[in-house]
Amino acid sequence: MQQRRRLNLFAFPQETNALFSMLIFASIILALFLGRAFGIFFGTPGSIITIDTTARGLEVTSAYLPVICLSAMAAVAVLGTALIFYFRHSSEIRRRREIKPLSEKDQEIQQHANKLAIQAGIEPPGLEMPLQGLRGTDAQAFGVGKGKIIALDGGFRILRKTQPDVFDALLHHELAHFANGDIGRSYFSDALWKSIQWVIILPFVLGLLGNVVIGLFLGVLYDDLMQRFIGPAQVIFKLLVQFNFVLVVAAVIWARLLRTREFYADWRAVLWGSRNGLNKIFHEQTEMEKPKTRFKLLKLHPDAKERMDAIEHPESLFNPSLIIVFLAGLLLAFMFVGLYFALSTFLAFAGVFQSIRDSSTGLLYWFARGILWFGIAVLTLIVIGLTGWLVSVVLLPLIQKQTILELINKQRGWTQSIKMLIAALILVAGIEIGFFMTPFGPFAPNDLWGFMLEIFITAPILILTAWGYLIYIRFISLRLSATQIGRNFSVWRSWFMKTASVVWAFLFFIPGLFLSRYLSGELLEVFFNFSVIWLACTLLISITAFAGTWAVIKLFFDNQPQKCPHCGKVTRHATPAIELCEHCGQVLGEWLFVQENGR
Amino acid sequence: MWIDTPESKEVVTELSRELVAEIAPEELELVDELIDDYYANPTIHETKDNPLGFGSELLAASTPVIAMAIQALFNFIVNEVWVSAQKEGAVLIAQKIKALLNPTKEKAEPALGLTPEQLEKAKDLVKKEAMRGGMKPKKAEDLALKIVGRIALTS
Repeated sequence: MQQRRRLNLFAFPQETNALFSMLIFASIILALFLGRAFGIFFGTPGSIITIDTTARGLEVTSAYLPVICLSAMAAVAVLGTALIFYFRHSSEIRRRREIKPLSEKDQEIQQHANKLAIQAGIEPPGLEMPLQGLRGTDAQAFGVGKGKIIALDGGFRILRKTQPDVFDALLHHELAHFANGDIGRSYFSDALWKSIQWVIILPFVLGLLGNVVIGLFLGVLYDDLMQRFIGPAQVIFKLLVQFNFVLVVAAVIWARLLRTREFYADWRAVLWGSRNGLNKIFHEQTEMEKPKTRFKLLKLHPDAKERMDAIEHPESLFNPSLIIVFLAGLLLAFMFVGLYFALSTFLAFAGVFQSIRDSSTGLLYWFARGILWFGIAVLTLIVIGLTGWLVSVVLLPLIQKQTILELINKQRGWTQSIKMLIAALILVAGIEIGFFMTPFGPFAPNDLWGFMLEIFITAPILILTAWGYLIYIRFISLRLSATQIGRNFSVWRSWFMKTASVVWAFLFFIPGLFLSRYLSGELLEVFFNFSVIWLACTLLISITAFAGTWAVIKLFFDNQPQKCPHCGKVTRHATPAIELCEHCGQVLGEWLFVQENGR
Repeated sequence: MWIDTPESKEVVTELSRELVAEIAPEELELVDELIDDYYANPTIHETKDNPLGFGSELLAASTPVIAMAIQALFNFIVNEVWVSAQKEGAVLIAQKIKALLNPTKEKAEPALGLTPEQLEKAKDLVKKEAMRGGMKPKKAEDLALKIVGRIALTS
């Protein structure tokens, strides 16, 4: 057995975690979309956009409530249906693959799988196969809760005897899905996508078609109705484009989640000694694979060649994905729509409490008043929570991984920071497109002047502030990761990084984004003044914050020489995390590397 | 038709075993089991696009593919070349096919020859069939050359 050092993909949160949360968020946005689209299709009173701003109390409630109820019902339905699909996946797989628990004659396969699982340090799964047959080599891990099952094709009966290394590699790969915690995430995502098809797409298409058919039918009969039908046609067309866009975004996230999990499972299988077996499979597959013209973003499985490359160069998985950056931008824009919806919900309920407050005295008055303020506080927390989540779950790990890659490749200097301008550009492009593509585009400019302002003033400022954020995070990540040695990444360092990232985003990026949405209309002057103040503060304070962070890192995390965790001697390396100890030759940053068992 | 007779199956099994010994010797012990499985379900194993499966399927065993390719070749020979010979008995055809594909063993019965064009067609057919069954192009080419080589030797 030989051992080699490999970059630890699990030193940072898995990308699939972020993608899973992003998919849930995108499906909720689709549900909100459906509710509001149905409001238009069926002429539900009180479109949020047309509400009279002078309305108060129950007037507000009656105006907002129908659309809110529809959207909330759609969101509950999409998640509830997904849950049903998820719980049914095991029986569905058994039915489709015609598999049963292994019979007496196949018990050796079960015993071998148990052995591999125990060696890998995970609980042995149950195996299921078709009772007869020697064809096929596909394997699939599944199960709900603690039930861990691997479905195998009949060909595994032959593989075990003729190509044991390939047999082990396939089993290792499926076991790795269990070890990586993929099963719940992948099958719930799959269930969510099915649920979107049934609960969102189907009603939307039927509602749209019904609306068009009835409108045309009535329009043919009565001329004045035809005019009324043609009027909102433009709105409906725009709605259709926006709906398809959000749908494609959800599909891209879903496909990427399924693709990414395979790289992580391959990586772990290699760690358990299946490098040769996997390479054999992928090598054979590359000879067989025809060039696929399918749009790469929507591919559900990586190519054999991509998988082979990732096995040989796992550091390539540390490359920051600009698609994720773009998706993060889109979701940030979608969040504003979520916020808009939350505000409407709040106003709908606030209307009830407002009327109670206005018509009561004493304790009830203060209770109603308290509830209103509580609502505002909850709303604020939702915004902070969601944006903080997006920043620390999606963007932060991306930058951290890139920093590690730079350290390993010995890429230093300002050129790396300048390259981050591209990421900032893509992030803001995602945000801007997201504003145009969210339902009804309430935050997108609606005239040429607004559009020009957005492109030539707002967007460049946002790009610069986003760039500032990325440079700041890179700086912290570089200082904290490069000097971290030992088996685990320090909880304090991790906490500091997350806090600094969220605080910076909230002080110097999110306010700008928020204020820029109101640079038109009657409140232009107020928001313009606020924007100028924010920009001035950002320019002045951000530099101070940069210096302050540097000082904190120097004081608390980088204040004494690092000692090798193996021999205890002081190491003089400037970036010890990626180096070997100059005294004992052992890996200093054990959190960043793992040993691979070779065969 | 002769193709569906036990005699045909016997010839396919025998020829498959010989070819497996050359192309996939690790399967030699399992040939009978694999051929039985092939005859139990002679259709090609369809690789399903399963997004939650492993994602890259490989050929579990070459034997069924070899048997399938031989079967296709027999069809070709029977349909294209020996239409007239269908009047003869199944046993006789079996002997002739065996002689055609295995010159060293079946000297007694003179085999019918194939023209170079027909040999080329047979080679393409075997290769195509083997690849359809999931064999790598290089291995399929190798199999086709081996089978057609036997026929050419006899012819």
